[in-house]
Amino acid sequence: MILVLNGSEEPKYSYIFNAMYQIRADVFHTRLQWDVKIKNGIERDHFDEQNPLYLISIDENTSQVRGSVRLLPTTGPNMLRDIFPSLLSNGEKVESATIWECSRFSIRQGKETRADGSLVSHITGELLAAVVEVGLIAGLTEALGVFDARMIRVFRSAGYPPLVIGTPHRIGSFMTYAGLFEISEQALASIQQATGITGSVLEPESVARCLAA
Amino acid sequence: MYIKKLNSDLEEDTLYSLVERIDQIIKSCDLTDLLNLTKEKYGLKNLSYAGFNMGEMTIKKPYVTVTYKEDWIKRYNDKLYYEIDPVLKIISKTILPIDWQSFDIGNPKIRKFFSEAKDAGVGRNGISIPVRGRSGDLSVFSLTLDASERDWLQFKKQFIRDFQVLSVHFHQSVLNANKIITPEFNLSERELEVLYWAGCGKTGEEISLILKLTKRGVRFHVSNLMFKLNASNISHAVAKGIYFGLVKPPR
Repeated sequence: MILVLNGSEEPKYSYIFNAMYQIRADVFHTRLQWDVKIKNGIERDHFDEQNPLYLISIDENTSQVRGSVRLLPTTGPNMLRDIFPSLLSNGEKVESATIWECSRFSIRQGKETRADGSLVSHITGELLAAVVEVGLIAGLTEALGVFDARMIRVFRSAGYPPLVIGTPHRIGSFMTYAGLFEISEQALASIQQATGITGSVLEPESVARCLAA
Repeated sequence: MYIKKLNSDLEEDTLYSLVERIDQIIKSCDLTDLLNLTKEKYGLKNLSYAGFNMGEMTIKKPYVTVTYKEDWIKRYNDKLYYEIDPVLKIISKTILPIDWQSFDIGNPKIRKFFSEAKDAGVGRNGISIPVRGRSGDLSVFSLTLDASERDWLQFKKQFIRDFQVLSVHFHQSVLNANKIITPEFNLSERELEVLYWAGCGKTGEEISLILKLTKRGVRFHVSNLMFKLNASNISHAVAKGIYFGLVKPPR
């Protein structure tokens, strides 16, 4: 199940946000060795100040946070523009009303996910389906992402291969790419088919609350 | 009924010809004409635009362009409705487009506001799209319709993409028409922190203690800030930073 949360709701749901920031610290600092700032065991950067939209995977039974992705419009401040411009060929820019950037795609590294390989693909499928569902609500054509080679394989097996753009670079210990994901009903169907997800993954109450702004 | 007619009336290149027209706007008086043209092409009831963080022009109140009738505009201003209008508040809350149906009409003030708006011919259905610009500039672009529930749902599904595109182009044309340049400063996180603390009146030495930097490190960031913001000293940089919405508390 995916919770949809505005950055502006962080004070109200700080326990969920903290769990998400801890997973991000684990994934981006410990595993990928990106140059991210860790404070009190959490990873939070200044894009989190820009009131992004978060899609957060929650275990239905235990309410535990198990992964997340962060969305920001490419017309405003975003990571590819401000942090990773080198991933695009010189002078190229992605700045479009109908493209949002998804960043900090991360999944909890724990006993459960190590023991159960299909759980990782389920969480991946959920997060990707949520990106497409929210993208359709917002009228997007594509989502833009920055990810390493291993993730491309994960996305592909979730039925959602990105279109790699620009030039790959080494960030931390892995080759890193920028890519575009299609937002369409067909893309959603493809993810659902590959990952066995049926129906909407979005938790209805959180969507209603987000949309009530 | 409405959707059927719209789909037969709309030409294939309507969106692109509108975008082209919008991109050519250089005078602010042409902005309302363009809203009216867009309204006509899509058979809408009304369109409105409110811009924020656009330098001096929006210090006291947002920059507003609307297709509403004069008497509603007058009433809105006289009654200070901009203080409670939830549409103006969404930009600080979300990046998602917001359907007006989801506003909290449990609040009697807001309920009264929307019922007056409806009586004034604003439109039965409404949706607002938040826009983020390059340098802290923000806006909200809203459209309304008088349609059945079914047509409204279909309209949103089919045309939300068109209006995402139109809202961003319209936002840029407002900046262009008012000669507001939105330079890309690309300040680093450290520079933003230094700028914030300088804005709080801290000295270089105090900032070095707060951020655990050497004094030389702080001086380095300050000189970068002055260069990037084209400022002559740190106070000037802070002033410009506030102007462009860059001065925010760090975590």
